[in-house]
Amino acid sequence: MADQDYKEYVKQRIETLVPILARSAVGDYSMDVPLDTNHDDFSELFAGVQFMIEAIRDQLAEIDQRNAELRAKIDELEHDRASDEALLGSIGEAVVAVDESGLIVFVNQEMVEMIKIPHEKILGQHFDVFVVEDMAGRPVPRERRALERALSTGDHFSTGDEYYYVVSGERFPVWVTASPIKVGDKITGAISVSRNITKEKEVDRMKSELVYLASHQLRTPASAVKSSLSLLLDGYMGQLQPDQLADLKTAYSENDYELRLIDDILDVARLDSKKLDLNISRVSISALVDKVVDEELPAALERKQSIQLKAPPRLMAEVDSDKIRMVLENLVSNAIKYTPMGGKIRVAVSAKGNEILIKVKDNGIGIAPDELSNMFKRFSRASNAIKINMAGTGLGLYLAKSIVEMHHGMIELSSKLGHGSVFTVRLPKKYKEVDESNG
Amino acid sequence: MAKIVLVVEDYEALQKTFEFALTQEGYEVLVASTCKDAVSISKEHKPDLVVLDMLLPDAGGMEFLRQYELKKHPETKVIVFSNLSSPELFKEAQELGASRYLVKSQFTPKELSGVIAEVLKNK
Repeated sequence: MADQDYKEYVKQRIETLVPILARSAVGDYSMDVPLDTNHDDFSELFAGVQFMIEAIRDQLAEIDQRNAELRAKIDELEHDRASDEALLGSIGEAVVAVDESGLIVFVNQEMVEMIKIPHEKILGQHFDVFVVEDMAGRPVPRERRALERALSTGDHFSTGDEYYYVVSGERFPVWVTASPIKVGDKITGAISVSRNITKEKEVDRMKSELVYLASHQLRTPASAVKSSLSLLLDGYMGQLQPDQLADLKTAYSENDYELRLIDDILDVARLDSKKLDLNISRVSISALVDKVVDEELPAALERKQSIQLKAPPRLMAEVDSDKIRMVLENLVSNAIKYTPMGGKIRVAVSAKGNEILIKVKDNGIGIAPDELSNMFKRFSRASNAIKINMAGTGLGLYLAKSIVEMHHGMIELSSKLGHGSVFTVRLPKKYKEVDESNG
Repeated sequence: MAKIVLVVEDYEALQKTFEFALTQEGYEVLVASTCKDAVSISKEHKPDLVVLDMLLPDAGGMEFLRQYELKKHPETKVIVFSNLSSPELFKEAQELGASRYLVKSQFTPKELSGVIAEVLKNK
């Protein structure tokens, strides 16, 4: 080919390629390079460019495909998030979610209304922005707040009914439950649900007041019956025939049972309305236990039972001696009642660390495994106990547990049906005013 | 001379049984159903001992202790005898000069009479 012709050829070939490259440069890979069969340098170059364009097209198609998939995923997540928010928004309870440092990332409308801070001013703030007080009106420190506990321990936490929110100077009781948000093992935040329990508390208070008053009204006529019957029994009205005496004794003990029942109900009502105050003093638990065993001894002897007492002298603790005495009387008299004639009852007092342990052990009828967990609930009685003694109130153990817990102690029960039971009361030697574990 | 015991109790059935039993035990028994009557009877008769209910129709038993100014009457001892009981009431009654605080439902007339004798013995 002559030089002139070759130049023309080269020019023509390049001109063919220029628009294709120009469009590729702006991202348009739609044009194909015309291929030929000249088998010269340009043919190879054109084939190479075409190969590159096709490779780019394939990659672009793949990227488009991935983008579409990602978009679909984002849409799905967006939908999930919207449903979650709609769910949390319409839950009817006040919800707050925080990140791992306690900064608020979500609040629903109920929370906004409860706390009366605009939505946009809450987001991004620390949850400390909500003012929380305890029953006595003291601010609850951050480390005892429900969300902080969920964040720091990774466990669910519920405040009970002793938290108060303070909003524009107004105080109202709330029940806050917080749960950690975990991704794998890592705590990435926490979520809390707060419920205004003003109405529940009011209903509870009214209920307790009613029971309290009703119990008083019931005690007076029952006291009058007791007095009248004892006038007869004590011989103020002259000597009675043995069968008259026997009938009167029955009436007297039935009435006394009713009085005990009223007393128990009254104590439960007082407990519920927190009127059962503790009168704390430092007392010898050994002496207290000794006294109770002494008092209960006649009942045990009547049933030909033996009571063994092991109490090293002067084991002291700060307790309400009347209330703890009530607990011990209850445990020892239960042991006597629910142990057959001739049985053995052992009471032991010991000290362990900062605690005094009082064990009341019997070889009586025991409690069925499926009933054990109910034994400390109100009005709960073991089915075998009901058969032996119809007259129990089912309140004694509930009261015992409540009183021991008011002392920040514990009461434990282990039992084997037909073999006996062991009740263990654990009391701290020193009474502490505020229960750190609560709220 | 028989010791004078004033029973302050508004519930008639209880008032009667205690009046009866304490009379049998040899006391001269006076009765009152209101705080007002209790104060005027006490001022007039200067009883050796008052058995005092806490819930009275016109005022509480504490009001009697205040109005009668018990501490100015060392000749009169008071046993609070009530179904109302709490550490606060117990403390308040003690501060106002009451000798004992008994829960009514836990005592028979005979047992109450025993406590009265004990309190009067220490007078």
